[in-house]
Amino acid sequence: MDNSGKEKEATQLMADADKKVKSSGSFLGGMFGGGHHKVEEACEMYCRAANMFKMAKNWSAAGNAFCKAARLHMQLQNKHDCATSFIDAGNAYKKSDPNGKTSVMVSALFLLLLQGRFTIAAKHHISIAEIFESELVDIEKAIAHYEQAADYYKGEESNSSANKCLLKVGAYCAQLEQYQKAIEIYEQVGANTMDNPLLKYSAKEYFFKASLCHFIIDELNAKIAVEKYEEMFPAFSDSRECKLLKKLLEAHEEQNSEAFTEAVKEFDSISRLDQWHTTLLLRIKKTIQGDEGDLK
Amino acid sequence: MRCLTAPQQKPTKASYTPLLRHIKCWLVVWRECVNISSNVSSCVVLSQCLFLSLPPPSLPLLCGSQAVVMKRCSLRRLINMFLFFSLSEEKTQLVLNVDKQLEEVRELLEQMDLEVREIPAQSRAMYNSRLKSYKQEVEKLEKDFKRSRIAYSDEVRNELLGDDAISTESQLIKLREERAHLLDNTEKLERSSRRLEAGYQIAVETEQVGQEILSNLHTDREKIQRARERLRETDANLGKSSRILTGMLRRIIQNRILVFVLGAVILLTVILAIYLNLRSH
Repeated sequence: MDNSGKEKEATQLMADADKKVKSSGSFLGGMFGGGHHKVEEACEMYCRAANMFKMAKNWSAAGNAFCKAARLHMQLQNKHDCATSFIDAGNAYKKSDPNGKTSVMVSALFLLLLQGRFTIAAKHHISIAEIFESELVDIEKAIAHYEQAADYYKGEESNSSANKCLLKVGAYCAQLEQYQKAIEIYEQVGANTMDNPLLKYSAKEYFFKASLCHFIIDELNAKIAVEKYEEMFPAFSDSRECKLLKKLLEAHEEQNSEAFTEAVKEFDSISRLDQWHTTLLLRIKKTIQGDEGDLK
Repeated sequence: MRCLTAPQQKPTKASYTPLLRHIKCWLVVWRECVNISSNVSSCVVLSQCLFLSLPPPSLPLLCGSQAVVMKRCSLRRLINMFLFFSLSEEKTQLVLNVDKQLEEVRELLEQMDLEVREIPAQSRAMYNSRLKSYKQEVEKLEKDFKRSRIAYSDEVRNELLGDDAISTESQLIKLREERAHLLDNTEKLERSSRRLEAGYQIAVETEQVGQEILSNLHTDREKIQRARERLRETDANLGKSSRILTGMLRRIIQNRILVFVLGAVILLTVILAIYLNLRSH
């Protein structure tokens, strides 16, 4: 009961605000400066209506209201408020219509960028990319957004957040078989984290991923890469991942898929391999078996 | 070895049947001891049996015969034990024990004899024959005992054939012992290696968790640094704005003073003009 009452109020407010906006469109109103007041009031009313829609859980209507408020703010040249309203609209749409959210957010981002607030823009890029990743499953767009976010973070000298985005980009690239790009990303991230005392324990993980990508492209590449990484980063050679890599290289040379599987199983028994790793390793294994098939 | 507590004092009439049960239990335990080749403990158990199978003299003959039967069995087994024995100390103890038991058996038989004479004549024959068979068995046991003491002593055998020539039975027992030890050890090793592996797994997991935490910390560090920068900027901006406001306030005051001053001047001029006008008139 309460909710529907709120809804009615909200719709009433919207109608009032609409009227105000229309009335202020007349020349005289604009002349007297009271027009601005009217538009501001209308803006406020839109916001209040949108909040009430939110309370009533009518997300799309709330989104609409916020959008209208944002457009009014734009008229008033209130960039900051405009962007805020767009973001609110985006959040409301998130619950109901992901597509709408993304377009709205993009416009919001544009405004923020104009103001030079890259950090928040990057954060919103990430949230958009997440939507693409999960609900709309459009990996290419997700990659694009993550990349943008990473660039902005780099610009703002927050390397950690940039690395996080880059890692996601790399993972999706490898899944989409853009191995070269993935290799570059992982190498870059690995080199960055190597020196940082906080992050150096994760560096070996990145090198492992890079070597796997190398492996898929070409075995010789992988060998050279592993040696290079060992040189750069001596702790890498002690890790179990490096030992696994060496065993895999051997197995690949001998075209022995059983040794391959065994080595992988051994590694898995100590620490489980996650989805991404298993996919790549499976691909590598198929190349071994594919070679065998060719030989026959 | 199951821990059974046997009554240490001489058994009374009331406790006789449970006593038999006790003896039976002790015999079972003795069998177990032989199986796990624990010579000493089995002898101890056996002597315990013999001790327990002593009936009080006033009990009826039947119970006495049962006791003698038990004693006979345990004696026979005890004597068999000699064949496995290799330690002279315990052997002397056992010898003493067996001697004691044999004496007691003989005493028992005498008592049974007396009792039989007091029974009416019909059943006397039956009990007599029983008595006779018991006596014969006791004599046989004594003979066995003497033989084993002299002829079958392990020491003599060892002296003759050297230390390697232990009898096959004791060899088997020793081998069984060793095997049990080795199996135990292997099991312990396996258990510890499994535990080590589990520990290693946990260590690896901990390392991964640690990695994540570290990278989170790094991100947070950067965020905090950025927030601090922004705070400083905001602080500077606020300072600037407060300065501007004080400037504005000053200007307002200045303007007002100016207005008042000008107003005063104009008023003065007007009054002067009127005054001059009036004077000229």
